Amino acid sequence: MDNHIAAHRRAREWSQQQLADHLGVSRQTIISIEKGRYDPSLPLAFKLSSVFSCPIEELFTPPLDSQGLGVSK
Amino acid sequence: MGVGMDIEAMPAISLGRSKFGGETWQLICGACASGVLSSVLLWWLLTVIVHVDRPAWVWFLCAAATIPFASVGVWAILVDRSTLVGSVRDPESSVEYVWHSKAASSAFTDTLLLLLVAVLVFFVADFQINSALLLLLVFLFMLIDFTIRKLVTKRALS
Repeated sequence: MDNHIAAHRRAREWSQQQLADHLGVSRQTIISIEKGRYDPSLPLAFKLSSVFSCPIEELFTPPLDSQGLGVSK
Repeated sequence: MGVGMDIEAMPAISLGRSKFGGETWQLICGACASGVLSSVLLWWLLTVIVHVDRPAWVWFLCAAATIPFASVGVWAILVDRSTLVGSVRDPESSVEYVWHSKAASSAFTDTLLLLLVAVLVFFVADFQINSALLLLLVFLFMLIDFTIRKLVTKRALS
């Protein structure tokens, strides 16, 4: 799943470690999420949404299916 | 929602606190007492089951040697990881937890398959093997398989 975590983090001038501390997870978790290799759990996604004060849909983009639609639709 | 406020949560301690509450010294005392008890019980059971003719002091020595390992094992089970120095507050949401879970799950499936194949081979070929050696081989297989699985998962998700 694509995400805009890195952009939101940089907009606040936070390091990966600072974001990890806010969320209570390891820095490696932030690295993996930003690279798109690890989809966070729902509670962690809600925490990210809370930390960045924006809806989850703004942070994560669902992958497109064969008709070019988001899987969630 | 003030998630940032949680950063100044309870201070981390080198030996941590128990999942069930209480101070560090209570956790350490509990772990040591359980370590002594489980070691003595283990070696007493072995003396009953194995019937090897050894003087009592040998068994006491063996029990004494396993106490530290048993105590550390009990501590690892009882400690609340979020109270340890350098730990994260929410380890279950971290990617490392996923590495571990996936590796454990895959290693379990691999072991089941190995045992199935081994049962078939042993049954068809009427193969005989020492049970202690068999258990050791299965244990080593699980250990190596888990390690490889974890490294592969780590590489894929990081």
